Amino acid sequence: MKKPSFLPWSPLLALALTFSPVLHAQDQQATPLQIAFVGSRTLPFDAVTVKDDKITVKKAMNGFTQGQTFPLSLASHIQGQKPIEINQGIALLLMNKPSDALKVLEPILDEHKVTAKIPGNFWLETARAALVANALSGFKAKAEDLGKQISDATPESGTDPMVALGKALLITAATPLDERLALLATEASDESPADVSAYSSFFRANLLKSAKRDDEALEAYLAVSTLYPTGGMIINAAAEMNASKILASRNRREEAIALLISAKREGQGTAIADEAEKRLKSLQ
Amino acid sequence: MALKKSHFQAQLLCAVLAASSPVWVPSTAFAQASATNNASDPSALFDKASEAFASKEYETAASTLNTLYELVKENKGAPLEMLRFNIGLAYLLDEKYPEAEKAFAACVAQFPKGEYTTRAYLGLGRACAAQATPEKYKLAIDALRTAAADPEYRTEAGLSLGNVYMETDRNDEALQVFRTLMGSDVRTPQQTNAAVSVVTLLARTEKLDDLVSYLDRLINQPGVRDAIAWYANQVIVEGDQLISDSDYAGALALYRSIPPRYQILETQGRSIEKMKDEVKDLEEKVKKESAKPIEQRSTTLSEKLSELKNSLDLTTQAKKAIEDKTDLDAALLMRRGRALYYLDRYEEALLCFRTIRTKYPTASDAETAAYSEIFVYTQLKDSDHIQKLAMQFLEKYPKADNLEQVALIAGDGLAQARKWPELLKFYQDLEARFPESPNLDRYKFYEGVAMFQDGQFKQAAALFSSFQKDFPNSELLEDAIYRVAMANFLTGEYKETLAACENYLRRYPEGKYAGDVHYRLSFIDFQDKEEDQSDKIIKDLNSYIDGHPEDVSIGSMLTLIGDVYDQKKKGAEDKALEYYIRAIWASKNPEVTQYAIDTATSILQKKKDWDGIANLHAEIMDKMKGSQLALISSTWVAKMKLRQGKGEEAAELLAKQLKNTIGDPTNEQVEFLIDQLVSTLVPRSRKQISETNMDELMDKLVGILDKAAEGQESPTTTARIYYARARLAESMRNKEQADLYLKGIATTTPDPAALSPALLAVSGEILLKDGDLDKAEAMFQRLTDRYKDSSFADAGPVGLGRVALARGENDKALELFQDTLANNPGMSRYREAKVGELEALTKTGKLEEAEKLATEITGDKQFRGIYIPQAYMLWAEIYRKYGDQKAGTAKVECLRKAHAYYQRVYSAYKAYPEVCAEAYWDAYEVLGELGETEIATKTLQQLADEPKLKDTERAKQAKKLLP
Repeated sequence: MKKPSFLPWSPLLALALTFSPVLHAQDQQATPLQIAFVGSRTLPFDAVTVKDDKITVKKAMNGFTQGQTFPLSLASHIQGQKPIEINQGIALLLMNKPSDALKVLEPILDEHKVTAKIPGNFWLETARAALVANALSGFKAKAEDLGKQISDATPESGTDPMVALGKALLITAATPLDERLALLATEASDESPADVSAYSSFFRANLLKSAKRDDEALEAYLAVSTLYPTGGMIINAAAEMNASKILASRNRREEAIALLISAKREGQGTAIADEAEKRLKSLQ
Repeated sequence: MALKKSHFQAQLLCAVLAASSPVWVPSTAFAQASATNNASDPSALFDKASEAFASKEYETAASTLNTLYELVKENKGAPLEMLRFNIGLAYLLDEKYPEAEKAFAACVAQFPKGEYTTRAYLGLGRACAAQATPEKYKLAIDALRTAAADPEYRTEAGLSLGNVYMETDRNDEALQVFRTLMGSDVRTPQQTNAAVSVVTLLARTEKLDDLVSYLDRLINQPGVRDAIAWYANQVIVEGDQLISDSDYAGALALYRSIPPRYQILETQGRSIEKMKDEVKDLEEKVKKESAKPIEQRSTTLSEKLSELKNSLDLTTQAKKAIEDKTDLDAALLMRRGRALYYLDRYEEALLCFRTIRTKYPTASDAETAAYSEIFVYTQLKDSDHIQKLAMQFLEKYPKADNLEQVALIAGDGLAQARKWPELLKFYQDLEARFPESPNLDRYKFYEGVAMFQDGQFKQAAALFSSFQKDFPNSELLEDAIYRVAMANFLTGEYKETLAACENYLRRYPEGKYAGDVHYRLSFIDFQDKEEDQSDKIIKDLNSYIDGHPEDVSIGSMLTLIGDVYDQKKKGAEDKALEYYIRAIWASKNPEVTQYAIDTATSILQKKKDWDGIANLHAEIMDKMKGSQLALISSTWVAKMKLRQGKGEEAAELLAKQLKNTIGDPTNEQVEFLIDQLVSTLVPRSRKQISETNMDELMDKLVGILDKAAEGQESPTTTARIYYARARLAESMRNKEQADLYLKGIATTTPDPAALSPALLAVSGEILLKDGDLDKAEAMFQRLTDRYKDSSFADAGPVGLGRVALARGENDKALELFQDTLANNPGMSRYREAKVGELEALTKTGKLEEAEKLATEITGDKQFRGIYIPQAYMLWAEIYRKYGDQKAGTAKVECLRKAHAYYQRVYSAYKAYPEVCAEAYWDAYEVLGELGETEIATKTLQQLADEPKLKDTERAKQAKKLLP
């Protein structure tokens, strides 16, 4: 590679990410989930409450005193590994088991609520998935409430785009199919966050599949992992798995197998990977 | 694969380095030294060293610091450790690695527990690694391990250590080191850099599962978010490197991890604003600090500010680069599409290219995407799309370099799809559109081909004749002249054919079609009704064959000579046979080969040469293993050997054929060969069967097959031997034993993948009947997924539908049946699927639709057999369901109708005991509902007394109920 730059500037400048001896590198072992503050101190979730953009320390620890308050903006990020339940819940949701998904996601929502406005939190992804699950289950009030919470938590003003998706999913089968499809299509766009586009495309594909419009369903499933791949690994996995079924039915076995291998990889640790493995064995 | 040195050295520069100026120290430290002049004034020397660092004059910095060190080394309180460290740093930055190594080593030796010790080990490690010898790598590893033990520098030391392992091809250890960094947060620029190194290593060592997980994790990390634009660039560059190394899966994973452009700009914009606020805040603090005495000032604020400003500059530049790259999304899609194409994931590749074409028509990659899309469709042999897109391409990119290639691809697609009228029009359009094209001869030629293939021989002949005049130098001239001859030949214009053939042979005596032309000329002679040209034909063709033994037309010539002997020369059957047999082995055309085999066999039959037939076909089986011809030959061998009473010899021959295939579950010929083999062992008459010792015969069969399976024993061969046993038992009229063997296959084969399509279908049925629905489903699913082209394929989806019905998943069953009926016209299990659909409609309560279908089925002769009584049974069920929805006389009427159908079944279909017994039972139930207990009891009695039904479960139940 002669010119190690995709964009028109020298990456050698990147090397000027200089090191300051006073920036303490944190202990890098995988740690339990905690809120990390500017200055590198941390607190577990249950040691704080958050209200009106202020953090109050409930228990004295790690150099903090009980009752101490400071602005939420001093919370730097969430430290620690993403709970596996989130991916598992999303997988169940996408495998048409929204009630099972909620059982897995709701405890995470409760536990991580305090972190909703802190960068790098896991609450937001969980809440979005839970909103979708509630919408699919027809629980309008819950979906709307979550939508409001999500909108409040994100730094951008206005309603979170996931709310519109939730509304589209709440629409019942009594509404003409093309209308439902059109609503979902508007949510999958360059202006929407990748996860909203990915979910929209996925559920649109489901609708098309149930209407036996397989060509369009295939395109919509593949759009998830091809056009909106940063929408989430698990959504990619679910879409790939469903697309593989359509391709297998058309005797495009090799492509179906490739999709299942990818689905198994992206869905690792969830029911999607198990299902993909089963389907692979059957196809190979 | 080790990273290139340049990459490593680049890493070397980053992160280690402390601020580009030495750490500030209080000037009082040098107070004891007397300042006579600058050269011996410690403060002045220190300032000089600082300036040298700032202006990257590292050589000067090193020498100045060395001088300073010598000057103050005896002074109490002098910051000797700091000086030692910075001497090493200066040499390192100056790329004087042996000197750096010496300086850092001296530092740690003198100050083993100092403030700079860890950093000195870090520098020592870097300096040794940069010298790149085995000995120095070892020292580097030791030093970096020591540095890594300090939590404050674990990341940087880990990164360097990992890179040293990669340089020395110790990738597993590198990965281990990086893994310890992977599980943690990525917050600081150094951690972000380390993360990118981990990505690189995972990609290059093809740890795809880990790579995908890690990329997913990374994009949400604060450090990556803060430098998202830079990160995107690094990942794309790495992806491009992987493409050039043909690691498409790794490249795809990387390309898929990059967010859309707008998201990168939004995220980076937010982090830049935050950084600006932090810079402002720090600047104010530094300003306040400047009012304090030196020794009270913070040692870190300035450095923090400097670093942050640096980061801000970098990320601002990176963001600008993304802003300028307005077609970034299209460029990413192009990359993904390319990777997907090379991974043979065509549908996804198509989506990428199509999206670029339609959504980003002005992107720099748009033309390439349009071309790529056409190319992918050629892989899929989708001529409709090829043609449509090719025309669009030709319109939109008239000056494209690959314009003609696109035109030819489109033409090829149409030719492959045998769309001759469309092909003709396509090339006519091209000719009209590009009259000056250097490929005009090609367009004209293919117009002629299209006409020819479409049966427009006269027009084709005329076109190809003109072609000779219009394009005398075309490389397609030979083909055109040949086609003139062919076109005339096929219209029976023999005079013109002769002229054209002679023209061809005159110009191309050794041309690629010379053999065929000779054959055609001889064929014309063969058709001569006025004169017997036999000797001429034999002479001409033999002469050509002798000179051209590899010609593609040899087979046709030999069969023609055979025909001459067979049809025109009395008593020359042996000669004819000789030539036909030669044709069998020489022909490269399957139809000619088949003809030669058939006629040779026919001659041998006339001669009653059973051995001859058996030997011929045994040779075909041997030399054309796996072909359809070999399969047909196997039946001849079996038949002929049996005729001669040599059944065992036939069995041995057939077993030889099985040797290489019995272990391959995908080879569908095996069961057929087994059937043939069994038929050679089974006695011909009933009397002989009853006199035969079944066990001995079974042992003989198993012995033959064990020998065939020797060395490749597996669940597949076991299953097939059981199958053979079942077939033998069945042939010996022992159905019960046969069923047991088949059941053995179904229940003891551990994995459906071991079974062939035939055995999957059989096993699925047995398991379904036994109620083992999960296993049955696995069998049918395997059949559906893996063997779509098999003659047993239909059993798959139909079986799955029946499993769904058995589970009560009626909606699913209905979908399965309807889908398979819609997608497989002419399927072999049509009747079963239709009855399945009827059952599913009934059970899902779609009664009107169900009734309509029941009428259709029972009125259609093609459903003769068990399907009609089954349909009547379901019809009765429909009426019972109607009855459930009604009351009073309406209900009674429905139940009577139901009873009538049951009655019809048990009266007319005793040949199907299970269905008949069920009809009796259901009739009994309905009569009970109607309150007609006496008739109900009578019905039950009939069921119990009917001898044909005595073994059915319902008959046994009836007996228990009756007094």
